Amino acid sequence: MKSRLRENLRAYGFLAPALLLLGVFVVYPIVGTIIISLETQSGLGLGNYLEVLSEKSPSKALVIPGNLGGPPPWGALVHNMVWILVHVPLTTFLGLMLAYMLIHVYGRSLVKSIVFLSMIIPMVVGGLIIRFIFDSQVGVIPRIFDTLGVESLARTWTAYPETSLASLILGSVWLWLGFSLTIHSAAVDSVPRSLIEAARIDGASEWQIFRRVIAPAVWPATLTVMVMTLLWDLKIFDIVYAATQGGPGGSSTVLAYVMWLYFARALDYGRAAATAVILTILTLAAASYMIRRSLRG
Amino acid sequence: MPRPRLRPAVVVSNLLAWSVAAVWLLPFIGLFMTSTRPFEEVVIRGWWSPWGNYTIRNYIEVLANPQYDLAGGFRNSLIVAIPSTLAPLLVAAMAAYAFARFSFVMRNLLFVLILVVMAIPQQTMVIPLFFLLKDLGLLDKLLGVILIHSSWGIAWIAFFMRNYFTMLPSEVEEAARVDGASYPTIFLRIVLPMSIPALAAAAAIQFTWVWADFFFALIFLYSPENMVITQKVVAIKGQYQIDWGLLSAGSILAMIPPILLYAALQKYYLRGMVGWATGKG
Amino acid sequence: MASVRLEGVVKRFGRATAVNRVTLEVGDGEFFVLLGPSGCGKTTTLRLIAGLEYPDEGRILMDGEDVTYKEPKERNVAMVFQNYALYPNMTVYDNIAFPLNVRRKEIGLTREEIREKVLEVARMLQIEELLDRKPGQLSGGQQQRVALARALVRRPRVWLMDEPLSNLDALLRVAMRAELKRLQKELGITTVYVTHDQAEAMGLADRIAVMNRGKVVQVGTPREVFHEPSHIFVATFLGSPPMNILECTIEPRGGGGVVKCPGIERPLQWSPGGVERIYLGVRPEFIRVERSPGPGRWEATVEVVEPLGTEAVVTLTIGGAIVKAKVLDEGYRPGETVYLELDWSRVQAFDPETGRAIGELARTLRGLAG
Repeated sequence: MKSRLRENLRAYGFLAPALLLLGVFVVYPIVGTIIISLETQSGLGLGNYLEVLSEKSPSKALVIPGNLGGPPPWGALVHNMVWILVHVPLTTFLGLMLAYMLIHVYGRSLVKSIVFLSMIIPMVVGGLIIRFIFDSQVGVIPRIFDTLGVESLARTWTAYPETSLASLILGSVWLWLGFSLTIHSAAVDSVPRSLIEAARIDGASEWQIFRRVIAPAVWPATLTVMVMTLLWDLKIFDIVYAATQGGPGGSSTVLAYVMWLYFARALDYGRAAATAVILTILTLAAASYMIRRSLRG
Repeated sequence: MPRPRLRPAVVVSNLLAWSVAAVWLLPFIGLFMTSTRPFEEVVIRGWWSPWGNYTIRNYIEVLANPQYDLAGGFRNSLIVAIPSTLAPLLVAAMAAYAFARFSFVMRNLLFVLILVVMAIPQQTMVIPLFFLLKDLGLLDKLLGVILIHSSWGIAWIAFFMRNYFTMLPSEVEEAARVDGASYPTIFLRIVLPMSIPALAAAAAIQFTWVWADFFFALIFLYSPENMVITQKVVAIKGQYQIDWGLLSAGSILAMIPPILLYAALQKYYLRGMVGWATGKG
Repeated sequence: MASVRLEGVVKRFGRATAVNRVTLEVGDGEFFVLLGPSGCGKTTTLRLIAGLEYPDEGRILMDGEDVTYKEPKERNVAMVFQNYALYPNMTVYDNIAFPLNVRRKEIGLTREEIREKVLEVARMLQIEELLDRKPGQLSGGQQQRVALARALVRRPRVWLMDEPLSNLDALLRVAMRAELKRLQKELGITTVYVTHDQAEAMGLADRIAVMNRGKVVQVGTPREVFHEPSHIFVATFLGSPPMNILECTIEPRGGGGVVKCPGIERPLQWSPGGVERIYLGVRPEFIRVERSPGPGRWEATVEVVEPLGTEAVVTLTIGGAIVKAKVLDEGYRPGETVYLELDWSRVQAFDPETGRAIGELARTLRGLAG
């Protein structure tokens, strides 16, 4: 029908510049990467993936089964998973608790702004700051352990395989808590104050109010925070590059960093692409929840 | 009458929240103190000791010394970040308007595409882009990076603006249609002015992200005179010995623009962050 | 100025049919009101005329020209919205000038001429001192005037109004109603006006189209739709309180017949073929309540009295049915026994199956009056 055609033309008129840019600079490269990842000397195949997955050198390996019992390196994929397992619950819970506590806090918007500050600085600077606070010469944390007499933690954390990954993960809590707090805080603010007051009049303790009233009410926000934090942990690159360069001895590599090593250091585009696709599959699996929710909304 | 008793929950909440705030602020203070002191003093006394000499030598050194050239990086970052904020804002708002107001073929498919692009890591794009920019003669050129940032930003801004537009009352636009306005006129003169809060939020976040970008710059810009600030700051670090005085001064310079923007547009900033994550403007 | 014609217009939203085969003719300079309960399709009909929606079937003509699929801007119509839909980022002046500014080149107006026109309507609507303000700084009544000014400034072919007075408080609403009527008559602009408020419709309209469930049930002057409802829906939608509907039968008796209603019986000179069920409609205004019995009066009991000042609405039970009467307030008490007298010259008859008015039967019933 005439009016339908007209509406389509109009819509695509508005969409045209976006589709052009997305097509050339986003969709085409994504498809290209998939194709490159499948190209081997003997035609299309999964060779690159097998090579990437079975890579042995600590700086590029995705999994190092022999090391899993001891200290890192465990392989980039394992590092990402450990990162997620520690960082997601810690950041989510801390942000939620803090958001609830802020109801009572004087100067709450200042507290929020301070915690959010680490979200707005460039992530490479965040990585440098992690390097800074864990540095034996100038950093606070080694000094504290020095005073406590804990020798093994009184040195530059990023320089030793036992501590480098841990310092990055702890630092990422510092970097990312602002996100969890902001999203949770917006959700807590939209819980009607009367609900909290009713629970208080009914004799609920603060913990019970948190557990029974606030946490269920903000659950959608909590889910959002968990998924977005997980995605961030999967894609992490800048702070690793700035703080440890994946070292020492591959003890703090991550998938995105390995991809960069293949691409920029080894100039092995097939394996770089295969690593990128593995990373993408993990990301989309995690994001599918958000995508489905957005389509329903 | 007795004063109302302070409830323990209130006391504990204040103590804990402010402790967190103090711990979170501490690295910034450390960085600032280190950047304003001669490095030898920092090493000997620690940056937390307020006694000793203060200096801006570190700042002058990283800005002016051609070896570090943060002034150049700063300039390049601005040249990249400003168009990479404004261009996708307009292009994505147009697309978002189509999603919010028109029905068209492949609407759901294209919307899924936008959501997928939002989730995809940058690593998935750079290899073909590297060769594409090379063919276009845009490798190691700021324009190349601008094009990539602009395209990359379209997805999330379109998602964010679509959600905002769907919440706007459609009567105002209908009134304009009856009054004889064309769709481009309605979009430019009615819809965009009504969307300034959302546009400001999107602009604040997009600028911050482009400013903060390191990965694209690392891949596509390699001549020292074309590097952006994030590359320049990391380059101060050196291979073995770290001069924390210089590095902290550089770090502080690199975070000034986003922090200023945040201070000026705090409300929009937080709104944009919530909107990006949850889709609610 | 123009005439508007809708021919068999159908509009569906998914499975629901919002407008179902509507055919209407609005004359040049006429004040035409679409009246009906919410969801009856009146607003959709208006939006179809505006060009904000396109029909699935049928045609829309203006001055004989087919505009069915034309864009709103090609129709030269103006519309006033329920929530006014002023442009929040523009001043009052720019709001009013907007319809002229966007087609300045087409109509060939200079900025100065636009200014004159804006000032002229602003004067007409007494909003000259508001021209520099933004809509957010105006009261509801002022916003209303700006919306009217914006719709007036370019002398459209047709004025379309979607419940424009419903967001105003009661006093202002009545005042604006009178002003609207005056403006429309002075300027002679063809107007299609949507409302669910029957008092507004009665007061404003030259003709009313009563709509229900997507269909036009009746078109007529306010007098016609009030006194000669073509359907039981119109009878019970209009009037306050609405028309009483009594379930009655007509039966043969002797040489003639009789109409039997709850508690009321009335002989007929005409003989029906058999027993027929009918709905008898009587407006509360046409029922008299007496305190003494007499011929043609029927016993009833007062249940509720709602005083309205000089008048009162008395709810009565008669033969198990409930009837409302609007009478002078004579201090009736609940429980009191009274005697009703119907004004048979004003009764209506409806088919219980279709709800349609049965004109002939009504005339027969009335013919016996006196």
